Amino acid sequence: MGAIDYKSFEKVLLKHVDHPDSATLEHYLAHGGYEGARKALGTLEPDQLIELVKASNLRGRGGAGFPTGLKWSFVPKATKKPKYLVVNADESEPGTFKDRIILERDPHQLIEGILIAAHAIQAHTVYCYIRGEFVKGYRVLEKAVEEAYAKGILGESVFGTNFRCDLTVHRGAGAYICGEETGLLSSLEGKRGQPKIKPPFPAVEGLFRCPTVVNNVETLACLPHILVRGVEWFKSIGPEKGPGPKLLCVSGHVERPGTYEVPMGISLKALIYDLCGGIWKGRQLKAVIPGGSSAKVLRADEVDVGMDFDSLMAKGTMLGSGGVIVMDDSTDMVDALYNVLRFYHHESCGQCTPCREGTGWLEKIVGRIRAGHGRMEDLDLCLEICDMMVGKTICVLADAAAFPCESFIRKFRGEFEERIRQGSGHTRAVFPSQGGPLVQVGAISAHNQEKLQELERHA
Amino acid sequence: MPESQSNSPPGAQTAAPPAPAASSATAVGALPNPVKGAVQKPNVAYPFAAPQAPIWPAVYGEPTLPRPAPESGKLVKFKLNGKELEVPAGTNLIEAARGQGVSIPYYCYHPGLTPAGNCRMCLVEASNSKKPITACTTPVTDGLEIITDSDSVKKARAGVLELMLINHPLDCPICDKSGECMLQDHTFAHGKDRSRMVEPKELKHTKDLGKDIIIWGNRCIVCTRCVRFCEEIAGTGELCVVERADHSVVDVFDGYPLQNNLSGNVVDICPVGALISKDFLYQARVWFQKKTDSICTACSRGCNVEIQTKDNRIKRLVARHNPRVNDYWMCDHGRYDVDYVLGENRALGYRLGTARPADAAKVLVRALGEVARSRGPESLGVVASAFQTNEELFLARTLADALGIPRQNLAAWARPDGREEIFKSGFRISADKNPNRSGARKLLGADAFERLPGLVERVESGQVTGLLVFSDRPHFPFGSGDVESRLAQASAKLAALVVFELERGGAGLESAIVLPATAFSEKDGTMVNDSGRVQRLRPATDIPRGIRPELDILQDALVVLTKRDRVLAASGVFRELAPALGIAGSTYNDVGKLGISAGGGA
Repeated sequence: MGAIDYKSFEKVLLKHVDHPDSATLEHYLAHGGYEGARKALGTLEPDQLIELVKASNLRGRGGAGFPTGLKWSFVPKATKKPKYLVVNADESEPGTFKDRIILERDPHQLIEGILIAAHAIQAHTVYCYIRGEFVKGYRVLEKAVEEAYAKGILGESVFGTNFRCDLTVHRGAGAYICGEETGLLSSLEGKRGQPKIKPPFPAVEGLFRCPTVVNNVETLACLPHILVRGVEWFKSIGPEKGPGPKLLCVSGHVERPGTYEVPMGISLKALIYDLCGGIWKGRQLKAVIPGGSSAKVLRADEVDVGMDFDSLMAKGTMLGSGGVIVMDDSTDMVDALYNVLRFYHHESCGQCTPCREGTGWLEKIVGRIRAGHGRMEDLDLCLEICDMMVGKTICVLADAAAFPCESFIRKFRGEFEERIRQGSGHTRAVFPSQGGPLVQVGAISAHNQEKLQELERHA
Repeated sequence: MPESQSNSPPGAQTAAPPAPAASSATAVGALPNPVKGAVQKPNVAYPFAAPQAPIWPAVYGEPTLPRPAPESGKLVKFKLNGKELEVPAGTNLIEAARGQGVSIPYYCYHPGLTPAGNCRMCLVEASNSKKPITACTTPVTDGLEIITDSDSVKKARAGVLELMLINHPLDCPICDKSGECMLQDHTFAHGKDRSRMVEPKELKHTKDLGKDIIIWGNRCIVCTRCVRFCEEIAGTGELCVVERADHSVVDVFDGYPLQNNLSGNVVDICPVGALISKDFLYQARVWFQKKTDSICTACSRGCNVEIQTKDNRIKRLVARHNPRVNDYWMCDHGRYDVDYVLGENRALGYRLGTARPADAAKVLVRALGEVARSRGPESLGVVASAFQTNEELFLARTLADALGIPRQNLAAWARPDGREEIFKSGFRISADKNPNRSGARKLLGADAFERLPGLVERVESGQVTGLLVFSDRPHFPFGSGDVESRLAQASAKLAALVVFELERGGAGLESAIVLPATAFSEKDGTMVNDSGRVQRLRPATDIPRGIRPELDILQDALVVLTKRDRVLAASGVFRELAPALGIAGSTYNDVGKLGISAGGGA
């Protein structure tokens, strides 16, 4: 596959966000807004719409990369239960801030995508679960929703047709686990935000035990463009199996961090060194996390990879939510891993045993290594704990915690071992190493050091 | 006058509250000796007795009967560890495996509650998923294949166990649950004996949750069985999980402590020693206890229980699974109201004038026979009670017939009605606080209880001058109750009053012949519950020394009066009375552990 041409790529999703009025309905309509939704509602049956989106190979932008058209097709058609569309605007994956831009600066793009998706699955009630911390995004979105209701874009008859679409914006309350689709549904139902066992999948039994589709903000924002400009155009952007424009959030040690809209499949190297201006302060690249903190880390020599679902999967990591975290050679990988694990420990919902206990244990072990009291066997212990967690839990938060832990330790093992060997300088390891000598706790005074040496001489 | 209040057992005079904090505060050694001077014979070779039921590999407390399969009836093909089977569609995988003798370990699953799938202990390999799936949340579908004994499954189990134990305190030496703890059993079977956890453990609260329950939060594995129980079975939902990640623990909301009358069950279902009963705290080690299957006698429901005793004292009652009666549960009234059995008010002495206790039957016959000779058998009466077993009632009736007592003088009495409680799951605490009203009706006549006021009138008017009374209602000594107090007042007029009493303190017994009655945990017999089910009581505690049970004394009396030539055990008497219950030809074997339905009896 040839290198993706990103230089001549014209922005699609972020086309208008630099304009001060980009969030208003007026500006949106003036630039051809809601044409896609009109086309979908006016000319396409729901089945046709699903086939169209399937043909476009649009994959979910929330992290899992599941084909959107396929997910829509799982909703049972012959059911008396109401169907729900839920928009996942609970952007909590560390390193990700792409939905925020859409919510704060071009909410109508999202609303148009919502209309298209609602029509496809015949959902008349839509809930947008927005992260509680996005206060500005909530206000902007609420205003946009009001504008849409006022102009008949949402409500009893959308665009004058007999299609009813009601959108309610619901604020979250600060839990990462409520970004997991079934955790989100539990929270929306008013319960503790704890994920549910799948199967049954939300498309069959979701919100209030009715068929539900949960889609990410960016995924929905792609829909108007697919409708207006066509499937072939969409498929021509990036690799055919997972095409389209992608918002990548670059943070970390680059000259120009920020959200970049690029074609799928852009080389990570090109992203960092060309678009973002390379590593800052003249330093060297050390490591990159390509898809939010849940993705496995890549070393500096592994960045020659296309930023799309399949290429990164082949490389042993994942595109995830597209949060690219760049670390230069001043980064202490032990510190970085501790930070990541502290997050997952704090955010674990506590329902199932491996995640509840495992995230806490991993944080404590790596914290102890970081503080200088590590033992050599701790690294293998961490890898074993990761093994105990992956694939054994109700949701994938355990996997999300285990992947960084396992990849950091595997790829930067020397650094961890060095940290263990160094200790913290003052205190010695207090925990019994298998077969090692018994050592003393705390700072050893000069007097006691002499005594200790005497004892060791006589032992 | 006892009121029919809900939470206190009827009989306010001597009643102890259902959550007896006071009695649990006294140490075992400080309880009064049942019979002064008597030597307490240990009932097992203490302390090296083998446990009565296998504790491993059968997990303690887990129901031994599989949950009945769903009613669909449609059989599907299903492969378990390579073996082809046909089971009804929708059977829970754990039950399907249990039916084949394959045990899948679990904590959070309980056949009486909706599955949660959060402990992750029951992970098995399945053909319909790349990752292992939880067996408890999976119903059997056509063509499903599962493997429960592969290396990866064993590794998964060991992993889950290790993670579960990292924050679990090493409380086994001081934890009540030790010996019946699922965590202990599964760790022994599937886990390691070493811990690799050297970090400081998470600490959670130790808190009184209300009623009889304390939670040791450190031990809680957040399986949510108790939360689901309070939500689905009791319907009250007091318990919840608070906090997140490994700070999670079960708690109650401020100002809303645990209050429902099924709260004792959460201690039974807690797989570890997190939820503890204050009543049973530190009372006995489970492996020293003798366990007896019996039924509860606090109300007419007759929930199946297991009476656990040590050194002849009842330590606790635990519910037994009976799908026809009480499912897996029992209420707090019956669970905690057992202190009267060897309480301070228990009547243990004979008052026979100058005769020896061994001649009690002869005294009884002589007293009543004299009245019959001098005034005729119409001047005799018998008052049976709804607390007697069917065997005792039958013998009382036979004795009455032998003495020629007319049917209208054969009455029965009961404790006054309490409050009926029906919980969300349909579990019902009966308003009728007597275990054998149905049996009394079947054996003594449908209007046995309605005959009592008439009999009392005849006593007051002097028509009836000789009475045989069974005053064995707990918390209701002789003379308590409207009609009963009139009887007590009129008792001075009686020429002969023979009373079997359970509790002392009855008025009007100054000149009576008094014999001690047996309590429910000492009886061997059957009772009929309010749905007509005949269920078996087995003796769990020894009858206090020196006392002969009513069964024997009444039969002795019959030996004197009739042609009866032997004193039978309860099973023999049951065979005699079975026709009256409509189950002619049945024996105790047929009654078994779950009881049988009584037909329409004579």
